Amino acid sequence: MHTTATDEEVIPALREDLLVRPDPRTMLAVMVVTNVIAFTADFSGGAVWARVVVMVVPAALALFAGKWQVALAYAVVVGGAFAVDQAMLNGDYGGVGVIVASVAGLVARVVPGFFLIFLAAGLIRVSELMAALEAWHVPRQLTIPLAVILRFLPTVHVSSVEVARAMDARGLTLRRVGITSWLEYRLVPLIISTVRSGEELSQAALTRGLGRPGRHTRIAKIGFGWLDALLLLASAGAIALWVIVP
Amino acid sequence: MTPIQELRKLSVKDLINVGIFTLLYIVVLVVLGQLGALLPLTQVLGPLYIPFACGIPFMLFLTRVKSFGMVSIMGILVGLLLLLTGQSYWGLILSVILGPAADLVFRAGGYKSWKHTLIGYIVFSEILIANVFPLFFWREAWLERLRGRNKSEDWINQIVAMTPNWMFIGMMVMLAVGAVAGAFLGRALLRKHFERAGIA
Repeated sequence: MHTTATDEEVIPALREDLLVRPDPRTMLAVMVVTNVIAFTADFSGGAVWARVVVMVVPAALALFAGKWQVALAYAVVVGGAFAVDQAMLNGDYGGVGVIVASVAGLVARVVPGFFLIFLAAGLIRVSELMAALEAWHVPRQLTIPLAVILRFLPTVHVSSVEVARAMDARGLTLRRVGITSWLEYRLVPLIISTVRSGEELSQAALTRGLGRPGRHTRIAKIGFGWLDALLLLASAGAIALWVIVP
Repeated sequence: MTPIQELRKLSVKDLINVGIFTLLYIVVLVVLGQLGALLPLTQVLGPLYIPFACGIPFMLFLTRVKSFGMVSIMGILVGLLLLLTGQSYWGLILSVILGPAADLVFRAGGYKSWKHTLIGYIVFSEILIANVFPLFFWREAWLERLRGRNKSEDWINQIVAMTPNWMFIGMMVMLAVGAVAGAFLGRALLRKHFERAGIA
């Protein structure tokens, strides 16, 4: 599959060789906590510190994975957006101010969760996710699509960047072609390349016996380690800050 | 075969297709949804253009669907994602009901009939109404949150002015209209590109 070649360059923390990696279930829990706090916590008191914690955890995880440039870029973007967001709280701004504040707020809310999903795509093997979900007795009707989503998230990202670059090179910008054509030019190539990769994935999966009925044995080892304890502790701390501290 | 039997018999290939198209649907949904949150007007128009754009991956998805289950699973996964990204848990509740409901509509048309496709995609798109539940049913709490952030009074007033209570029904209608337009857009692109590329 041509996509595997580019994954290495794009996934910030594709470090399956790390000896200590988080359990997929831990990552799921951290993702839920991060997104819930980022999207629903208030903007004063303990909730602000809860926000800070869920913003720091992904950066720490990226550092742990040895991707300090990515961690730094993330810290600059999210830290900056958060600072602007907090500084412009309660202010009544008009025109450009509203847009700036909205964009900053959006970045501060959305990026930590997405970055975490991105890290998960690099840190968790698909087989480990499957093993973890099977341990929870999730039926394969859900595990297989979820595994595909985890596997293809980086692929779709790479493809969309490539499509955007190709369209820009041809001068097919939103302003020039209008919204419907723009959607068409961006989405159609993206969908075609993703679907093609998906067909190859189907063949590969069937060749490896994924279609075989009955219970499958797994060699993927999953389990609870000190990294999981740290991550869950940080998440619990964030919740405590949010709920308990006024 | 009953719908449940069809669900049990889904092949690995079907399930991989569900994963791929759910991802494409979600990408379009999240990117457009977040962009829409930037201005009051675009936020209020979201129910119109989001199902419109999502029609492109969805219509292509439907060409892969031959039996019950795939649309239901996609619906539930979309609901899970709404929950995971901090939207109202009503998204998951609605998706568990409307996903299979849409699936049954498509099934009644043998996953071929255009009329059933239109109705089914409208039903499926109504899952997204969960995102505006806070705006209408917990309005004070929602506005309080906006005030606590960087949204100006002007911004809030614009949203409030554009969303009287009857707009809840209005937004459901917008979702339906957007879904129908999206279905036509998806079908047009299907004929123009995907059939030619050999993937439809």
